[in-house]
Amino acid sequence: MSSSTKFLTLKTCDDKKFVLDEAIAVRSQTIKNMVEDDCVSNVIPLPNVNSKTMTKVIEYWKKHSEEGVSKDVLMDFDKAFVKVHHSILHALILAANFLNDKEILDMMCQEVADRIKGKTPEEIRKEFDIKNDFTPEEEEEIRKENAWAFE
Amino acid sequence: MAAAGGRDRLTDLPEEILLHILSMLPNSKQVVRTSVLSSQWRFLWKSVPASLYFNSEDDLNSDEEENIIAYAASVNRELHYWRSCEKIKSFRVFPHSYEFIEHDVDLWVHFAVNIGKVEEFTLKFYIFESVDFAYKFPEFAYTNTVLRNLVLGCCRLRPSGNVKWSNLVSLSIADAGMTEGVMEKILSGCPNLECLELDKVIGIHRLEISSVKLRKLIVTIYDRECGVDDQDYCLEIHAPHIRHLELRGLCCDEIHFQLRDVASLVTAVLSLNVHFVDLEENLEKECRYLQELLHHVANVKNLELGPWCIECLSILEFKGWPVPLSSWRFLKLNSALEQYDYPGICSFLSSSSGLETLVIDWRHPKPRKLLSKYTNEDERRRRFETHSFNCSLPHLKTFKFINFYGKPSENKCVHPLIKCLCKNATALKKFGIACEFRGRDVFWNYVFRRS
Repeated sequence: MSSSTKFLTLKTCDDKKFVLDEAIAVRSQTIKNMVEDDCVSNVIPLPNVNSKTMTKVIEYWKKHSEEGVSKDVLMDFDKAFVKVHHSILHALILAANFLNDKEILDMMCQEVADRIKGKTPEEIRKEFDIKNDFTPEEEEEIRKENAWAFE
Repeated sequence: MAAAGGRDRLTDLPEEILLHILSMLPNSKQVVRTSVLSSQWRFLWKSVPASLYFNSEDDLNSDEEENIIAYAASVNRELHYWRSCEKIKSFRVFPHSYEFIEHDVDLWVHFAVNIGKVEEFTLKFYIFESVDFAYKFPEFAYTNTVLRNLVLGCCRLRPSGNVKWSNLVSLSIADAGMTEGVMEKILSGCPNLECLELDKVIGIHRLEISSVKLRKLIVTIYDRECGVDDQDYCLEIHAPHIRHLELRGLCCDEIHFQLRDVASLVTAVLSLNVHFVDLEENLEKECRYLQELLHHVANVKNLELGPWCIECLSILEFKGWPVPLSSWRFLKLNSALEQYDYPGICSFLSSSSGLETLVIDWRHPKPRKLLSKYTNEDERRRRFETHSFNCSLPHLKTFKFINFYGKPSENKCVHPLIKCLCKNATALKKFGIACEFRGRDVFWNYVFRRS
């Protein structure tokens, strides 16, 4: 590694530290802005991201920064990357939103949309553990209101 | 798995992210169906920019009166529900014809330009009425400040007042007839237009584009074989600021393009077909026409040529007529090459010394009747076998075949072409020649390297 490589230390909410090449970390627009504004002294705190999620994000950043990786390899990587429990999807969406990484955010949102696609409301609730807080009468009422969409 | 506050994780996401997710669903009804998930979801769908798409082509009997009326009724019903939506991303409607439903169509246009805050509106009729009987685009619709993209097919455009489409970025008009001054009126009413597409629009003799914002122009020439009336005209294009130009369609003696001022072009796509037959087939005139077109695009960086151009190149070469020297860096040839295309292409390449990328797309087969009418088989073979070509291509780095069928080593044009390139393109050494080729349904990648 060349001597000009700069490293940043990221600290997650559970006090874990990640040392990362600056060139990779600036995939996050939030970190990039901090670096450009010169307000990075030693450690960058990430109060909204836990270490488990950050490990996943860094795995993605590193893979997508490798040189000479073919499109097919990246596509397979992305496919496997999004095949996680919805609680991890959720954490990654929030992390990507905080870090302002549109690439990860869009990919994760697309995955959620794909899991909603073609499912009935019951199936969607089951997939994402959504609690139905309507009474049967209320639900029937809404179905009637929007009946054209339930045909 | 419920998060704090008793809400599940998905519902707990910030609203703008939930809206982003919902906007990725392809079916707008599915977006509405999320209203029953839980109380937090009940009204969320109303804030999702909806994409509404109504197609009538699937139905075999879609031209019957009752089907046309039923189609209109289903569109009306759905629009009624979507009118409470904050924003419509796109509204696309493809009625069979406006017969029986003219007022419904007026209503849809009203929804698109006045009610729905629609960004993209497409209105295309399947049946091409003669120009004078096409659906008359209503006068009220010529003023709108929200639309960004507008696509109109088989509509009669006759604005009596001014046009004011102040936010419009892209406009596409197909199968329409213009009268004097209409196109000028439309263009002057779209100060932010960046892309204009005219597909078989008749009645424009001179297309003058003076806006510096309008960068992209795609014109498919009106094909006389389509019928209607046979007024003769040539379409003169004056567009000094245009950067990207595509010419398509079948040109003949009476109806063809005449480029006048296209000095700022960066990309040109010549996918047109030309058939000059005044009295008898006139190949020389066709070749002169290609020379004239190439002269106008000699300064572009990216050039794409269709099968007719490639065929004419061989005749130009045969006649010894020069191809203007050029500065293109990217060249794409859209044609399934044959043996006798090789001399024409090589002589063309010899005028393209700045070339960096050459792509040959096999997907466009076209029978070679021109060349065979012009010369006999023996003459062509002799020419092919005896000619040696020296084209210097010092900057050529990438050379690609796409959609190729069969074995490259057995093709009578590919093999000599690769040999010629290996000899003359010194920079190619580093990159090799990647050739993707299709045998049955399998894609293979071939890499040729200089040994």
